[in-house]
Amino acid sequence: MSTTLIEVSEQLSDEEIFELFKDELSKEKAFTILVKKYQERLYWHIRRFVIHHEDTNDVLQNVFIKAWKSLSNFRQESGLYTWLYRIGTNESLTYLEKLKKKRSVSISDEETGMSNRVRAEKGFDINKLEWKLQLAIQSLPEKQRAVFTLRYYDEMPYEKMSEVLDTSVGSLKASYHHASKKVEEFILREN
Amino acid sequence: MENNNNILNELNEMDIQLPVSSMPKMKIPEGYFESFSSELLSRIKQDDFLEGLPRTMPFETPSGYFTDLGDKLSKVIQQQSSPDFIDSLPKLMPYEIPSHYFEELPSQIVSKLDLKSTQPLMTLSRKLIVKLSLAATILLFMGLAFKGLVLTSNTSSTNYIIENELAKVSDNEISQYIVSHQSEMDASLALETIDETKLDLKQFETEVLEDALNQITDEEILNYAL
Repeated sequence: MSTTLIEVSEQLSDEEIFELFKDELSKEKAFTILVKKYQERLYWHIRRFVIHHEDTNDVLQNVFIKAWKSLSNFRQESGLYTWLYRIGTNESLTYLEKLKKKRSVSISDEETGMSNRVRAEKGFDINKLEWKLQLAIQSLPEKQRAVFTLRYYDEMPYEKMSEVLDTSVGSLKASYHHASKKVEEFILREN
Repeated sequence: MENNNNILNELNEMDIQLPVSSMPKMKIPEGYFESFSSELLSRIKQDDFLEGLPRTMPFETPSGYFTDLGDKLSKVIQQQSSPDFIDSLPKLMPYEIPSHYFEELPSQIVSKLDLKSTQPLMTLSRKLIVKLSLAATILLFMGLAFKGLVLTSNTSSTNYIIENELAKVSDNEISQYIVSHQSEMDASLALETIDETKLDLKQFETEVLEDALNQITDEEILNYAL
């Protein structure tokens, strides 16, 4: 039975992928393995920010293209995983900033901002808790949104989140607590 | 009183010491026992009256309200009493993605990469070699130009050779050359005005070399190296 690239990507550690990338002969293959390994996690991380698939796809591709260009200079002080999430978060926030300037609306504005994007998604159903949760997440300020989604969906340890968001563990815990309370209030209010 | 004494005697025989005394004086409403029976009867009659009233409620409830109430309440209770409400929320992402999106994504990204950049970035030593080669070339040209300048001004034999060589070139070719190399001519003339005795050749070379190297982009260096 042949091993697929996805299986290989799951088996190889970040360090092994990085070593392969440094070798000119295996560079492209290593990159493909890296994309396969992290594409889904990063996709959902970005989509929780930008909502639409097309925009998510653009941002995700930018993330990996940036990774391709900078990976040679990557210092292994932080993990490849947190490094990619950091690029993903920054790219998503940059995208939102551009969107904000373009539309001259507050991204956090529930009625005119990202909430409308959620409501416009195929299959949106306000009666379903998973959709209410998406609306609740969009009602959060951007930084809290990042903290909440990284912790809640990706179950990222605070120490790693600290590397991704360049914020102290204590602030992240406080931020997650505030975000959770807001989400809870939003959902109970909607019920 | 006799009865009371009997109890005391009995307790004394049993060697039990208790502060047995008469009942404390407790007040009861005046005429309580007299009116007790009539009050009891009126209470019984009132109960009979209430028994005869209809027990149905005139209010309406939404259809199926009580059927769903249990589930609704248990959800609310679960949400409110859960030690971590957030953890009870679904982690399922409701968004849709195109089919085979993740299968095709890596090849899409790779196709967008500038594979030229997959050429290994020049190491410092290689960069240095290229820069040094360029520097050597510039120095060689400068040296030749300077030497030529000195020779043309000091030796008659050289003048003779140059004159002979120039004689072979037509006037038309000379005028064309002057027009096309006007800027270089200006630079040469400017160079002639420099007092050679005061000229620090090494300093001059260094300055010219630095200027030349600063104007060269990394891309030009790469192209030259390739």
